[in-house]
Amino acid sequence: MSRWTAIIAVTCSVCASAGGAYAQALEAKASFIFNGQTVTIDRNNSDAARYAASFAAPVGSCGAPCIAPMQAAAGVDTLGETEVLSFLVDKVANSEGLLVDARMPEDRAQGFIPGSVNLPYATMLGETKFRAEILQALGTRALDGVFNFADAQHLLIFDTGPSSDDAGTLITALLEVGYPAEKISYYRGGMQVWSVLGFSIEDMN
Amino acid sequence: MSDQSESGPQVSFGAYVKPETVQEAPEAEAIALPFISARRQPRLDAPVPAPPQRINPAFVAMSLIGVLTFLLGVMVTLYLSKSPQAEMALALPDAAISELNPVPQKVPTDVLAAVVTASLEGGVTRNAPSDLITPSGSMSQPQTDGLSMNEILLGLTPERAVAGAAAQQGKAVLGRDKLWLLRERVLSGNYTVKTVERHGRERLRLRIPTGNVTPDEAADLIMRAVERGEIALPPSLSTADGSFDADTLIFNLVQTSLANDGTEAGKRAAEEMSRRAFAASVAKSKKVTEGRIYVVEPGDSLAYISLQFYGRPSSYLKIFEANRAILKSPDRIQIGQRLIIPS
Repeated sequence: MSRWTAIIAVTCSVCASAGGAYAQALEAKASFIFNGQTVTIDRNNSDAARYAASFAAPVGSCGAPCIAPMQAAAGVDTLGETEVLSFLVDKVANSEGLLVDARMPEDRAQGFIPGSVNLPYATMLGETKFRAEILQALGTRALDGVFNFADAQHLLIFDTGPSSDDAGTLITALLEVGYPAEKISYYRGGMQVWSVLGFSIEDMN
Repeated sequence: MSDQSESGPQVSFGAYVKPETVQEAPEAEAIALPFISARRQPRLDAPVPAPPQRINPAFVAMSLIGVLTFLLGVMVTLYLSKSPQAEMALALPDAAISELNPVPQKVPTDVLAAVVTASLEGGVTRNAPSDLITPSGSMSQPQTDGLSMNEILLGLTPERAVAGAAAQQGKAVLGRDKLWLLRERVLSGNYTVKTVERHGRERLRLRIPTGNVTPDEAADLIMRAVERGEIALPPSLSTADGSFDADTLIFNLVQTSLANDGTEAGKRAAEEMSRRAFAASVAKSKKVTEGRIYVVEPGDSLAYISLQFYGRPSSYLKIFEANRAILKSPDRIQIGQRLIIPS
């Protein structure tokens, strides 16, 4: 008797989790308000192939076949596409978080994830005069050269993709000024994986 | 609320120079200045006009003598109550204590004025009632309130700034006090300002890593004096849930004494305390045009909120002034109240 119960229970749980996965795969789209406008992301990008080709990087841009590690830094979570969409809907739409593009503006101009903002990694390197202002724009409080991150936004940082170190550089710089690791996460796939999967992309044209 | 987008997702490469956010950093200087300037011109330039009637100087002198006698009594009691003879000290008649009071006319008014300005309740004396702090009549005994804090501060002031027999007496009593040791530790940089869980909440506190003197003991000392009624509650240290914020009082006593000791090292140490407290604050707020909005939590006093946003408890008046519409006096803060924190 108990054996049957166990079998039924296992079957049900397998079905349930499979159903959950199926539902998640189906829901790989999102709609949210960003800067007062409705942004919709889905996987029907007719230009996917062209974008994917433009982001492809057979040779590492750092002069060697460098590949970003799975984890950008201790305490910083690495996320996939589903979590990126959840972040946009849960955090960005509620002004609690920002999807941050760590690339330089010329790279970003090729195309970016809708609802993202540009924070080029170079702006956070060293004591640039913008650094304090940037940190305050991210919600930190400043006093006498010291920052408080209690009000700081959650940041989900991405770049071209696994072949690029822009996001890693930005994350390191943010951690150095004291940005709490639990408020930073990393979308490693970046534009390379995003475009191959046919997700919506905006560009400057 | 309507300008959430201000701090919200508007960061773009072209939008870094935000005129509104640029202004925040220089605030620290502006906060520090009133300490020094206010010392020389005690309250005459306050926006609220001074009371019209003239006060007889003789009367002022007499009341000063009276108040000082009382305070010396408080100090002696405080000191003795820590020793095994505590009971005896409390039983001493007022007359016996007042004999210890030396010629009071020689009171160093300069030092007194400095600590009056510096202490949390600065300026609350009989002949210069400050309507800035509390609307008149809302406090039962403002005079003793302000001055008893000042006397503790006096004991914390370095030797060369303390002149006169009365002050020497105060130093003799309080110079051995734990507060004095605490101040020395902070001056040497051997301390942290960290959040510690208290009653289920993260609270900012001054921490001394090792040694036989701790802020906790000092806070306990103050709390006992408060319970015995020897120190009146400064309204800015009354918490939203009706208790007394001794932790913030200790922080403020140490910080203001350092800021006003006249040395560069002291000033720097006081500023460093501000920076450490500011960086460690866990208070969450929302940016609005006037500054920030903070929702009062249990255990908050106005001085504690000031510590979290400005790095110094003594800047609480800035918050009080900005919230006059909903705050009758600094001790009337309530849990859930939405306070404007001016930037």
